[in-house]
Amino acid sequence: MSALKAFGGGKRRPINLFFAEIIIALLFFSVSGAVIIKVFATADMKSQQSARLERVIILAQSIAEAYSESGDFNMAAELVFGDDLVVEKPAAADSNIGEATLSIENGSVYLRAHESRVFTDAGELSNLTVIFTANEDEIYSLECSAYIRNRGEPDE
Amino acid sequence: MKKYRNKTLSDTVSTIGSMLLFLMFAGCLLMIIAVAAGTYSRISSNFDKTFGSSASLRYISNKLKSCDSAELVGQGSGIVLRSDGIFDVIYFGDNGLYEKTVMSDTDIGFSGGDRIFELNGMTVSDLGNLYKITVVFNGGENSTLIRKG
Repeated sequence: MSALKAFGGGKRRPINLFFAEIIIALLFFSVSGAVIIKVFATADMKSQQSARLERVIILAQSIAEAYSESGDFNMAAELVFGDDLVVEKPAAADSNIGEATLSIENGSVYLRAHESRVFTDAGELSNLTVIFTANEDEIYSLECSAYIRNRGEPDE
Repeated sequence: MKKYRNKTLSDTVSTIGSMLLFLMFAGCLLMIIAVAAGTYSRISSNFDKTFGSSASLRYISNKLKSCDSAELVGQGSGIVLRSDGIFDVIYFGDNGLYEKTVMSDTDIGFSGGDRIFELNGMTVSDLGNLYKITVVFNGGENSTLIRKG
């Protein structure tokens, strides 16, 4: 009996074990809870990225359709974005290779467009590459072309 | 007698301590469940909003691309697509996108179609050489451009 008292008493020992068990269980569930919250946060982030990618793909497709009809990126962008368009770095008008940077989706997504033109006697071949970026990371890019007949360089 | 009192106090403290631990555990669990439910609800709503509208946009655009000729009817709330003498009517009505296939142009109308998507609005507008398809779903508007021909 005295030996048991030396170890903390025979009757109090089960209570200590009960506490230890509860603390271990709490620790386990806390870790599980942290993992679950992390999984949900990741799922939410992936869902937002997926929705953004879907919107961007539709925008890129619309730009390609409008561009292939007109061969003019500014016109295509105006048709697609309308008043939401904020041109931050407009393309140079006097160059055959132009670049434009646009801010869309409240500034969270940037569209960089690279346009090059080849003039021939029969017409004008324009190539456009649109690259959508978010936080400096490329999220989607699309290349398209337009061939406009009888709009080549004027005869000198 | 003193020993008995001490034991009672110890038991009370132990019971309160364990109950507090359980309370803390239950509170954390409820908080996690609330956060998880909110996140799941947001993911589900986001998924419906994005893919519900884009699926209907893609469906209409693919139909427009594959048909021989298209004609806007009902001020853009419907389109009649003609392919090999068969008329395909896609129209918006009763919070949904409907489609029906008829063999004769006399049967063209905004009734009797099959509901294919749940939508809050759909319009197709003519921009010269392009069609602009706009769909409204769960308050969000989404549109795309399609080249004619």
